[in-house]
Amino acid sequence: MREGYLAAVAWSFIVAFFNVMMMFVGEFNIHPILFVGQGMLFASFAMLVMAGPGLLAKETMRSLSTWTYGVTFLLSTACFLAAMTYISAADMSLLGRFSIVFSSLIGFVFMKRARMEKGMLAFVGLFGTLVWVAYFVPPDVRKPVYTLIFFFSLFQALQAVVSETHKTNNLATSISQRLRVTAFIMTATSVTFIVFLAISSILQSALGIYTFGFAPTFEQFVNVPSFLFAAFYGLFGLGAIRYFEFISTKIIKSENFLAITAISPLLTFAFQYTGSVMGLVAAPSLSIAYISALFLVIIFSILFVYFNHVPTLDEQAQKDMNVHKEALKKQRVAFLENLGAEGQEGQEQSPKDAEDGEPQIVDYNNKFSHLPHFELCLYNDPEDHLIKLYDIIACNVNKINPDRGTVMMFSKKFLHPRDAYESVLDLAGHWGVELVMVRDDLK
Amino acid sequence: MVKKQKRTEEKRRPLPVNVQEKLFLEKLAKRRKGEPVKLRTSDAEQLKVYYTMMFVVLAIIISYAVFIMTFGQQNTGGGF
Repeated sequence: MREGYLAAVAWSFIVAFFNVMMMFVGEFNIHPILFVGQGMLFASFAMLVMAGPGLLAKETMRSLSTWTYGVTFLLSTACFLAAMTYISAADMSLLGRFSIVFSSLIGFVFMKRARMEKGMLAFVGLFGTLVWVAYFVPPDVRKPVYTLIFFFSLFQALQAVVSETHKTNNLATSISQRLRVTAFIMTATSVTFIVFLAISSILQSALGIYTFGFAPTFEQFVNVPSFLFAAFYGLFGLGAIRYFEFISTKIIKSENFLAITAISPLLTFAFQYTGSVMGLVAAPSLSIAYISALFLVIIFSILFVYFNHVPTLDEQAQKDMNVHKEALKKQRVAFLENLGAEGQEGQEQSPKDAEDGEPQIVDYNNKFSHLPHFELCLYNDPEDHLIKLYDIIACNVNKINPDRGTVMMFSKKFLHPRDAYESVLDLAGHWGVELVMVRDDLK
Repeated sequence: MVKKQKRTEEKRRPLPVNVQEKLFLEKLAKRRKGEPVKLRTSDAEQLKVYYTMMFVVLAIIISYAVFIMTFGQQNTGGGF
């Protein structure tokens, strides 16, 4: 568990450091889209090495969502970079929180998430504080800054939506799978964009076609600092950020991860202040109003994350299981009776059939002592988490049976027994039950 | 008939991704040790896509670096 929290803190430090670094590299005639594309290219290489060969490669490349995700990621980061030519990294880190507001609105309007009322106070508080922070932006640069922040937030929100609906991304559960899927997304997008930008910059220079600043000039395309900083950002920034994010969300769940990483604006502020002392970047605002706004944004962000947390299927299943386990505790004997009745081809009387309607009290050891092994019944249920519920209750029964240190598991009444294999492994590990044999067709 | 039905069912409901990947990585590890393990066509395709992408990324990075070394300049003026 501690590793998950440490990974979230490491994530915040890396993000804060690179926020300030981006402010610094803005001085080197760097084109934001090209810089992000170059960074993504290096990051994809780092992540491909970290993930290693495996599944989901082909599926990721064929998915339309892969390209949508990549483009939104690239454009949002480019807007973030471009905005930092006008305002400081600390300001941008704060104003970037508008993406939370956009994501929530999109989730509420398009994804039918009726959770807004729960966190309405935090939502209004966060929105109000962000508007207040936006007021600190100097009047002469407000127009480009507000436009860039609008697009940054919009692309970030779209990115979150695509990520949620990305079929292959949702299939990936282990850290290496998630790294691999992200690496392929980044590879596909960065390679396409770099080739496109190379052609555009050459055409722009050779034929004088005006591209509204979208394409880099040839000088920007062959800019040495851009390439070197992008290599550093890609290999140690983007790659590491994704790695720590995946580790942390896996161990401490996304809710806690988001709450901890809400401190990143504060860390960005600290890094920028340190950088300004060293004479590398401009100093952040030190006014009481600004620092109050900084803390308010952090507090409201944490509150908002907690109030609007949408549980994942696993978390929901765990919650359901706990509720059902509590409810079934009183009926455990009844459940055992049913299980025993099935094991003995209906020789035992089910509690449902009992005259008084109350579950019968039985001695667990005697109950199963006649069986050569314990049978784990897996029920064919369309809801996967319900299967897990029954599994765990069944295993719990085995656990309270002190005569059996091991359990032999069979699949019964299941549409396809191989589906149960992973679940059986999980629950055996969860309850500390030694899995001595699994029927061959389960493997 | 039963066999055919079973096969169709298996085709429709593949193994969970984690289990598939575990089996795939086991096969790869065996191959690295020199054991004669035959990969399934789909697994071989996954491997091909992975190494192709790796090759493409490396090739672009190297060729871009060479291009910059040839035409690049230390440009430090202006902003974005």
